[in-house]
Amino acid sequence: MAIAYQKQLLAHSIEIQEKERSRIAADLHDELIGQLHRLKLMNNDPGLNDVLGNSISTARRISHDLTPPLLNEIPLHEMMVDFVQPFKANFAVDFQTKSLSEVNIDVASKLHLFRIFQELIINASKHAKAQNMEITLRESKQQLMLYLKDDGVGIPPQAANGIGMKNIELRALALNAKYRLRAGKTRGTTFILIFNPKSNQP
Amino acid sequence: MSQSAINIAIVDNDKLVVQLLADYFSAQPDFEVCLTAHGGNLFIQQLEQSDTTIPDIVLLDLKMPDGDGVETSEHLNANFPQIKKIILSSYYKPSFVSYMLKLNVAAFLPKETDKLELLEIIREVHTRGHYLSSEQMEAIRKQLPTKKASEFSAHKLNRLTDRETEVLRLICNQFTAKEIGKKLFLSPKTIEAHKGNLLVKTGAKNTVGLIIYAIQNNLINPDELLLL
Repeated sequence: MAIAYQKQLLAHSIEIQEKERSRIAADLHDELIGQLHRLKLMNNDPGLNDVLGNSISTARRISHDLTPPLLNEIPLHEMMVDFVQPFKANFAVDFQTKSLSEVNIDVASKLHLFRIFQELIINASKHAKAQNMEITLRESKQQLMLYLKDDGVGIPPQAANGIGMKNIELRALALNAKYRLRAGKTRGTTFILIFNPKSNQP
Repeated sequence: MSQSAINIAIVDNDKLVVQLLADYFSAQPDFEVCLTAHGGNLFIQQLEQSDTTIPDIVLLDLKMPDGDGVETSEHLNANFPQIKKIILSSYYKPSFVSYMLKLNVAAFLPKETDKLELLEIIREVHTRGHYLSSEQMEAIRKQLPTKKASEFSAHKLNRLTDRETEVLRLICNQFTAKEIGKKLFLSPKTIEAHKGNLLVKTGAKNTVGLIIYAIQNNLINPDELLLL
């Protein structure tokens, strides 16, 4: 009981952290970029123009690193495809997505799923030294399935108990999702997560 | 150029931005700013008044408290499809362009796009109907599936194990779990588990699906199957 309660608290703290991140990200967008943009429109000096343009790009990058933009609008699989893009330099990616029906996932759940995905991709690239990565995202009204498999060397012990794994566990808990993560030196890492979009509706 | 001016509407909740853009466009000989608004809903209200000039092109901000760019675009698609929409947003990412295309947007630009460049893009949208930067083209190209969507079954890392293949062959020969168990010195439960894994790995829904999979992947020769 006590442990379950503690986990709930931790999962809650993750949500607070996300809210704080998105608040800062929104401030950067709406305030800082807004002001820089006004300056740029008023300015007629081409040299200064470039500097202002670069400042806006920097502010945008920081903001997007904090929280993925247009979370409500962009479908989950597009966010994932987009995220995995730069990693294709490290390993081959076979990304299959299948949407059996229009699925509405609330923004908080979407963000949790995306963060779990980020964690796994970063792991595969940083620790597992994978050559090939297979990703499947399958969405239907009742169920969302995320499946990742790589042919790397698994998760080293120091990472297995790290913040990343904890993060996945807590987010899955917040999602009320079930998942299995199996990592082995020779058989690579397999991850499967099942999430019921309806079960998480308030 | 004796062409008539391009009628432009500017919708952004930043009043100063609207003012600055309006002044800049008004100073161009081939541009006419016919409408400005600080929110999507206000813009639509103005459009619906009978005496307004319907703009050729609208510059739309994305995040606005009173009617955001997505809602406004959807409304325009339904009621004013002739107005071309250019989204100018600080929420810019080249890969979002495919989402914007689905929204029937003519161009999607970062908010800080250079004034001069903006003029060129608006002219291009006016004459050709759309504008894509090379960066956006590249993003779309990367999003296209590299090969034909192979169903779950085709995953190469998901190859069947030797044992699973063996069980599959025996299933194709109409042996029951109990009989297969006897042959392989395994319990029927284990055989059922193998069968379950086979269903997951091949994506088949039932035993018939498994047999079709076995034939398609040359795991068995259909001519050699026993018909009891």
